[in-house]
Amino acid sequence: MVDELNVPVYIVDDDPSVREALRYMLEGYDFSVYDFENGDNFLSSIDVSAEPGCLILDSKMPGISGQEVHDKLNKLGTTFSIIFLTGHGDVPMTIKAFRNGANDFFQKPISAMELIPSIKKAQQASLLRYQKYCNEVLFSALTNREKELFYLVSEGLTNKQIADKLSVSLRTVEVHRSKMMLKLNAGNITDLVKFYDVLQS
Amino acid sequence: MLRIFLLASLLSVALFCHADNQAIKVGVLSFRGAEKGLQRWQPTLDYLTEQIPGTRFNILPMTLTELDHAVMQQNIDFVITNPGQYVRIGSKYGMSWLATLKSRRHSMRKKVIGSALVVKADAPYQALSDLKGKSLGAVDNLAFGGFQIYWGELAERGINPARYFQTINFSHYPVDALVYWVRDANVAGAIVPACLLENMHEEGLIKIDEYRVLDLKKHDGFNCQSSSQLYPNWSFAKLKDTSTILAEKIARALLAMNADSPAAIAAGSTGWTAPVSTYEIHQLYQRLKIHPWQEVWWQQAWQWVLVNWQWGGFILFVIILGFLHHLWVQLLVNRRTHELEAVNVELHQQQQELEHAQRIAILGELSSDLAHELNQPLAAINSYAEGGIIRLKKDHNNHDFENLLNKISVEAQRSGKIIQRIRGFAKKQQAEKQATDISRLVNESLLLLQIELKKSATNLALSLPQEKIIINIDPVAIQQVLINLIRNSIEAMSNTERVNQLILEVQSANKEILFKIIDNGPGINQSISDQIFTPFISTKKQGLGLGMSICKRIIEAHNGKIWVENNPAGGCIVNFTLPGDLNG
Repeated sequence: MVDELNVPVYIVDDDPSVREALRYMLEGYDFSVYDFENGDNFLSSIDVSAEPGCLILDSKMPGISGQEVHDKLNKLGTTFSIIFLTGHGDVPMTIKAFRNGANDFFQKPISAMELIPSIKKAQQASLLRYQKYCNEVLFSALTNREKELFYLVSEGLTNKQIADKLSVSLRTVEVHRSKMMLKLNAGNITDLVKFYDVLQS
Repeated sequence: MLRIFLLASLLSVALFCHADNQAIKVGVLSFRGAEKGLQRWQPTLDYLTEQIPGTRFNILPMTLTELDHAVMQQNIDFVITNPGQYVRIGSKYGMSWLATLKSRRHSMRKKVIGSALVVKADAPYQALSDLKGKSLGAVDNLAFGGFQIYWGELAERGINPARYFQTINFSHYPVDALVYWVRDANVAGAIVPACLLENMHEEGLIKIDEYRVLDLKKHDGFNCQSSSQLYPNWSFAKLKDTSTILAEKIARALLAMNADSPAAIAAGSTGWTAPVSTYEIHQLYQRLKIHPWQEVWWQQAWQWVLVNWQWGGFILFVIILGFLHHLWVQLLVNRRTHELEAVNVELHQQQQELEHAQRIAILGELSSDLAHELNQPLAAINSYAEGGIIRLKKDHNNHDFENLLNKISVEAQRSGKIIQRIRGFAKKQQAEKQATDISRLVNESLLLLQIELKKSATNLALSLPQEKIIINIDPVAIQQVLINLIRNSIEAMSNTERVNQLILEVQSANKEILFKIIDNGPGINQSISDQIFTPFISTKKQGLGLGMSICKRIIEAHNGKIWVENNPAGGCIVNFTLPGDLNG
């Protein structure tokens, strides 16, 4: 499992000094940082739908703007968290960003005191989304009988109760249950409940 | 006084006693004074009165200038004078010779008039050259024997008397005074008519051996001392309007005058002969460049004024009036000029204010862009600093802070430059032309607009001349023109679906710098292409219509041109030129 500090931070800003300085600061806080000078470069090099990531986006850039990058991410379906860091933002820009699911919206210059917690929160959010995504992938690999069993187990029913409810033998429940647990990477009932919570989030 | 008295008494005699006879006025040159003139010529006129019945000849003794005026004004009928004066004024006023006097002293000679250069006998002067740089006396610059004849001698030797002598003092009439000047050493030497010394000696006025004549010239049969060549004797002349019949009678009477008659003796003559040629006198005057026919216009004008003084006075009055009027008009013109200049200065100031206001307006519109631009280096500085702080907290030693601080410094300078650029554009200044690098100016202008270009996603193609071009312009004003024109283009292009393509070209040719701003917007409507430079005419909804008129004014103040045309490929081309020399 990736922990939150290992969620990479991506910077997209056309100004090289801003990029370099921000990267210097964030690396000081032990983030793994990658920077891109425009949205196109970023989109073509990073898979935004199946990885955790925190994207720090400038808004005014040559080529596609920060807002357009955000829209594209949403269209693709992303596990990334987005933080806008812009030279000057106005109220409509801010509203639009939050409506589109941005984690935060900052104006330059921004202090580490404000930015670092925001990044950490964003990383957690992205990590959660990523886990949900992973769980969904695992869940979708289950057979219908296994999915039925998953919900009953998650609701706290015992094998006996499940066998009665489904009118199958206890042995059959046990076999399906162990197969389901294996497929979902869950070692015990606690793991399974966690998995269930993430999936439902 | 004596002369005036005599004149008056003679005139009254003429008027009251001989009213029945035709009174004929004869002006005689009296170079030794009126009394001597009367003594010399009264007998001759009495002789004529006697010879020609029904006429009475009245003598009017006159000085040279008095006689000149009398001839000009035709106040007299006849003249007895030397040939110099005759040629000088006679040829202009239509006088004619009736007879020439025969000299009694030099009975063999026709030419008896000359000049003598007299010094005191005991003076150290032996030759003309000894008098160089000394003071010289002469009768009058118009006197014939008393100046002009000897002047002719000097001229022949290439001597200009005005420079040769220290001063030339003119004694005027009577000429005897000159001899006394020499005696009293008032002057070093004097030019006197030849025979004056001899006559004065004979009259017992002076002792001739107390004087010497320099530059002596011998003439056979001439027994006076002379320093010059000789000219014909005095003559009797008639004025232009005098009756020819009377003149003939006089000529006959004069020619018939007996050598021993009292009239002849009194005049120092043996009677009269046919008039002699005045050729040499014409030659003399031509040599001296004072021949009456050579008179320059102002001399003639002055003569005219002397004669017609009433008219002259009137004309002078008119001239003075004209001059006063001129002064008055000049005063009014000056006052008006000052007013206009003041208005001009005010107008110029207002234009500057307007230009400044428009620059501030541009900056206002660009302010969010500029804030963004300024935020970039500030953001970088902040990030570097905080990155440095966190590293320090983690490990005190293990870091390259020199590199970090350098980066911070670079960013701080970058923000400083942005502020400088803004202040440079916003500053209120008197239009001052200075040597300006064109490429640098264009780049600075584009830097102020870089965010706007970025925002509008405009592709900019910049074409600057290879060589560095420096011209004398007001850089802020030209920057204002560039920014106005580029922003207009960006705005125009935002109305089309095409990808914004802006070309900025600067060409240098034929001592002119040509700027071209080419866009691919909708182009300009031909019907208003002439009006866009007019203030308060705008094609934009929010435009004041000042940008283009300010551009035009600035370019024209730089002796350049600005015009707009449609791009055949679509869009608009704004051109302007600036003189390409440093003095532009």
